[in-house]
Amino acid sequence: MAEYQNLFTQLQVVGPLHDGVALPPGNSPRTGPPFLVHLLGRFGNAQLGPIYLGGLGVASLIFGLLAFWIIGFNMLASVNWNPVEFVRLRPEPATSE
Amino acid sequence: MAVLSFEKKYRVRGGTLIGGDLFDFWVGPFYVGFFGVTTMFFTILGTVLILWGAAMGPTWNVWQINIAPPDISYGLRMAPLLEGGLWQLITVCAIGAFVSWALREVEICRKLGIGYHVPAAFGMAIFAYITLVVIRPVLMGAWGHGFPYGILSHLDWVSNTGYQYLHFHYNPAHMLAVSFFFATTFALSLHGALVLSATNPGGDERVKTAEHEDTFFRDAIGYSIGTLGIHRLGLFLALSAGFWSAVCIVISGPFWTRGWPEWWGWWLNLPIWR
Repeated sequence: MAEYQNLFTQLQVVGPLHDGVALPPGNSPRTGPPFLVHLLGRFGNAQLGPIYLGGLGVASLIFGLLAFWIIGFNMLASVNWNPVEFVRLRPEPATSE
Repeated sequence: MAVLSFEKKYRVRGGTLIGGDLFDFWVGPFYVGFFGVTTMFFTILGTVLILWGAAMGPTWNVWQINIAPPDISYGLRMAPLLEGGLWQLITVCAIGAFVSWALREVEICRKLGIGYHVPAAFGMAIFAYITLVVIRPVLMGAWGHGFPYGILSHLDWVSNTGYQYLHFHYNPAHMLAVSFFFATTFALSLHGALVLSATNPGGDERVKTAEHEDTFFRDAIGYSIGTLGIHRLGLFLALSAGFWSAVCIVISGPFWTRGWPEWWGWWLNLPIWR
């Protein structure tokens, strides 16, 4: 009875990896060869990758990192460039304490 | 409601937890069973008690009808009906109806030979409700700590209880619960949109497959959790939301009685940076 009452995949069937549905002509190629991660396969698909970036994907990474950078350095400035206080206050507004 | 042609072969005898064949029948599309009878008993009795409480109260305005728990001074004793005793009986009826409903789901699962995932998931919602009206009041020593049954009154209770801890959003378990609620809606919207986009490609395009769905998420974020995995993820996120909701209220009072912002003092005063 309890045999099929499982929460996780008990036996993983390994077949050929998929690169994905064929891309239209003129697109950039997909990045990174796919590979299997056993622990991912316990819960969902075991295959990790590939990813499609293209021009907009690269642009979103650049802008995302830029935003992360600007926000992070403003936070660091708010604790007077003290890295320990940066972690301790996570950082809270300078009005605290 | 029409009975689907293939449904007949699933209408098998047996699988009941209690009562044997006595209540093993359907009314229209609905399976009855022993727990169908107890569900109806508790639901009707509880509803009648609510209506009676409303009739004894000052208003029939549905927004303002309120059935309050007993005063704190009653502690964990029974109170007179119109001073919180009704609330106590209605709570018993609600728990009886919810648990009966869950056990009726178990019987249906047994008839179909499927797992108990649905009643187990509903059990998390029942657990969260019982935490609010039984576990936390018992830990705090008075039924008066339960929430009142009324549309506006229960909102007032949530607001007042939150402000007793100054800023409830600093409650770490509340943070987790809110994050899981948002993650649940996010995952369901992505899953629903993905399935609809693959089955409604538009124009003269043929309906797409799970391979297209996998490719979409691999192209977007480098990983597709898959057709089975997304449902495991959804169940996990939703149950986590309910679980941490129960935790965040049961620790407010029994465990921590001051403002939640103050709780974070342990972090600010860790020895490594003092």
